Amino acid sequence: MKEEALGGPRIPVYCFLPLFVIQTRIMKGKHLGEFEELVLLAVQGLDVCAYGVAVKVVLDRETRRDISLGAVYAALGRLENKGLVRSETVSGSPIRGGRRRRAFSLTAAGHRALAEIERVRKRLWRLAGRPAGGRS
Amino acid sequence: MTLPPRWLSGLARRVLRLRFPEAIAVELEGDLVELWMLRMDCGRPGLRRSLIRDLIGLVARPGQAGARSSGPECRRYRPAIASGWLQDARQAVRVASRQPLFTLLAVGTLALGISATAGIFTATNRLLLRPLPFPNPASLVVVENAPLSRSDTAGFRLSPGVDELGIFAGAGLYAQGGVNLGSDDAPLRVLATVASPGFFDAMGVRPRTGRTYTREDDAEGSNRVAVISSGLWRQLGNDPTLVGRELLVNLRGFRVVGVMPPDFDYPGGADLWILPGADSQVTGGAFAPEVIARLAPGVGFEQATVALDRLITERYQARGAELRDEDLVRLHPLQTYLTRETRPLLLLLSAAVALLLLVSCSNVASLLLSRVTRRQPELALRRALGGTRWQLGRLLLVESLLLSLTAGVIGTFGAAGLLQVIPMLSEQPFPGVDLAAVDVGLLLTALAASLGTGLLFGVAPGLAAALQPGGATVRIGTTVAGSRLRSWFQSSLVVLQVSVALVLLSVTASTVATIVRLAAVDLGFDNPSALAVEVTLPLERYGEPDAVIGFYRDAAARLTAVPGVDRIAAAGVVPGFDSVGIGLRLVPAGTPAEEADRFGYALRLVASPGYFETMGIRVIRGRGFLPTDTRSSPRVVIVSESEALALWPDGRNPVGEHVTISSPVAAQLYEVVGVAADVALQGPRTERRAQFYEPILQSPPYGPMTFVVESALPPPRLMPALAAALAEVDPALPMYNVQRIEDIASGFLAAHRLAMTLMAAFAVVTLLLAAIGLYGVLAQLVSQRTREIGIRMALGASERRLLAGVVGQGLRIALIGVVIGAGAAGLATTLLASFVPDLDAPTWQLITMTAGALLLVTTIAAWLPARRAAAVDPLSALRSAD
Repeated sequence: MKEEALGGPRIPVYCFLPLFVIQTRIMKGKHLGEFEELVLLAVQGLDVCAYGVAVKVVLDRETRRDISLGAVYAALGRLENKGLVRSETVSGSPIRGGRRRRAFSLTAAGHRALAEIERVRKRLWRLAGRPAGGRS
Repeated sequence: MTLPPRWLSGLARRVLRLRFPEAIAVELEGDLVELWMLRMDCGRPGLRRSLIRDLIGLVARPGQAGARSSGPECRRYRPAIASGWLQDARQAVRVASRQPLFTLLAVGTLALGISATAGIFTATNRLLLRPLPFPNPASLVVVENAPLSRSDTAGFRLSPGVDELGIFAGAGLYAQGGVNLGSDDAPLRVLATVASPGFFDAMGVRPRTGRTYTREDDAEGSNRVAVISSGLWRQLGNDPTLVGRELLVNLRGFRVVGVMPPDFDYPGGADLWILPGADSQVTGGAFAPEVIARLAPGVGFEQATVALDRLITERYQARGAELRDEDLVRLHPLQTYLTRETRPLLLLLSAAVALLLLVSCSNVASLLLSRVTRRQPELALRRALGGTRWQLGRLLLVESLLLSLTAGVIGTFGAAGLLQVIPMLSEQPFPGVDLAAVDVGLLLTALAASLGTGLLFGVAPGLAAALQPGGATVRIGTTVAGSRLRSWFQSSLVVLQVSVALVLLSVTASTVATIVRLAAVDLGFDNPSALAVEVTLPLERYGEPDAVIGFYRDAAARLTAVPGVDRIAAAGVVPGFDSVGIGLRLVPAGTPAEEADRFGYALRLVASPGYFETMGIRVIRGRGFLPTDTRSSPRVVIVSESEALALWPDGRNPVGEHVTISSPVAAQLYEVVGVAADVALQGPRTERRAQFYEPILQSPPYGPMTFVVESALPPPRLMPALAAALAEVDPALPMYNVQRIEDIASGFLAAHRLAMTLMAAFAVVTLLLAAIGLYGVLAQLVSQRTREIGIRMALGASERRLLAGVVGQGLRIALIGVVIGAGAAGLATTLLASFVPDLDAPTWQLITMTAGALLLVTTIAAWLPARRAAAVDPLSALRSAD
């Protein structure tokens, strides 16, 4: 099933290894998992357009994985619980039959968390001696 | 752009609402639709699969956005897989209430089957299986053709030879008749039983007060003793001092010696038991008793039969007479004897309802099975979410049981209603059996029937659900092999239904044919505007012929004077009334005494002038009786057609011939003045016996006298005037047995008509169920083949061809059923003919006709889905395929 659902070329798993390594404690007593971080970034990137399907589509495209909508919502739920994002109900577009959707946006804590992560990463990349985002 | 198929969006909507509060469910639904659209734009394959996967992903994860932890909003959350029977039941109720039409159809089908089954089987149990309410009922037997001897004082009794055999612990004679009870001013008409003392020995029931009468009572002068029923005792005012007091029976004083217990009711309906010698008029002067006996301990049924056969053979040999087959003694277990009329009808109906239940079960099984197909995504989802095969199977089983138990409740009411009409299957009352009672037995039968059916039809869909492919794989639609197996299974169910319907329909057709044949039989009498009323003339006051003749003249005059009465006539016994006549031997005058034995017995009837016209009995030759045929004129008789032929086989005109009546009384010469048509006194099913009539003014009847009144007025308006007119003649004579002549004629076949009506109802229901079953299977096949049909149409198949294809498929299934059913019907009716005595075996024409009708109905049932197939839009059919 996975094979069928995945579209496009596959990226070796080790490319993501560094991300797994970084498991930093960001806030008091609260981890930010890898997937949560991606979702948080997507919400930031989508700005006002951030809602479940959009987050999923962006992440699908960028990670070339087929991410389950449920996983997206689960992550968003956790982020909301941690106070990193907030949500509000807004009216939906005709494509979804006008059904309402839940729009997410970063809270101040969310912005801080992302900044913190970026800082940590940059430091670490410097430590690794290679420019960030490079490929082997 | 196409939206997700309706079933899928419906499924998603339901699942989401099960799991989330409304607001969130709407949002998520929107997400799913949006994703569907996006994927379709990208031309991605496996749209449905992805949607289901998304759905599972949404439902399966805890801690959704918006469904935060355990807020009040989340109260509706329940695990998708029910964990207990109770939850299954709740789920089953939900499923049932979501598809009201389906539920109604299934419950209705089952309720029909269950009510018919519970009703008929309860009746069968009460009448045929449950032991009679007498001590040791298995040793009670009824003796047919028992050897009797006659004494002048006590009338008939069992031959002393029977006692010497030592095979019976007790044996007695009995016969029933009506008596007038009480004084002149307010007589009561009750059913009395003339029973010899041995009757009580045989029954072995102790009276609740007093004693039963014994042989010592059975002597001239002391034999006016009576035993009464509890019912009569209550009716007479619950008087504890009644025992020992006198009761007026037909104006003669009888001493009450005992009261029987309330549950003693034999023969059925009896309120009073008296000795045979005590009142000769109860049975119209003729004592044609039945014999009941209790086998002595250790004596078997066979042994007793053989001993009695030997006895009767010796007697016949001693007399030098030829022993014919019908003279042989026959023993019948009491229960068999009492249910001899009802048993075949009940067995017939039992077989019919068993088949009906089978068909309704198979129909509901088929319905549920197709629902399993439609519910496959849901079931797959349940499997994917961790439901075990057992849980899935159990859920489906609980759903089936819910349907069947609901049907059982409705069916119990239906069964109780059915039990109200079943007593009409027999003219004889059943002693001590309340057929219409609603008791624990009935409830248990209904419960057993509904549980049984629930399990029976629930197993197939349960298995189908349990055999769902498991694991994380969620599959849409069915595998080809699976659907083939299922449609094969469902088709064979339809074959079964069609063949059962054919069997029931042909049996019904043959019962209808039988009844039509019997109803067409000329009973020999017919007058749509006449009615008969009976009175009993007590011998105490009407012991002399002149008194009876006087009463007749008086009553006839007053009844004729009643406004609205066109004419009246009187007779001793009219057709259909259960009074017994006397068989006498008519012999042509001048026949030597030793040749008199050649002539058989004929039933002696008494008729007044105008009787034949009023009853609508044809006088074939000569004349009817005239007011001038009195005691002072020459003796005359009218013989029936068959008696005329028996007396003069050469076919000469009997009018003017003379006969003698060979009886112990002096042989007197009678002139035959007419020949009347044979009358079927006991209906078209019994053999007609030769009859002859004497004029009422010459040989008046003793005891019962029946007036036949012809009038255009309806009986209810006429009755009070008639009663008043009779009361003017003699106020002590209660009028009873008021019946229209028409009703007498139709009453002969009432039981058979009822059985036929029930049979026909069962058969039609079965036919309908078979049609619905066929429709269901074909509709499903058509919906499965939508794509194929679309391709065919796109390739230029004509509508007619498509129609023909589907109808042909239906007809093939039906035809197999018809072929099997025709064989089974032939077999079934041959089998039936062996225990339903006068059921005609269905002709092949009848079976062919029934099969034709069946095929017509199935064609209609097949045509409906076929039309739907032909209406398929090829484009959407092609696109709808996955």
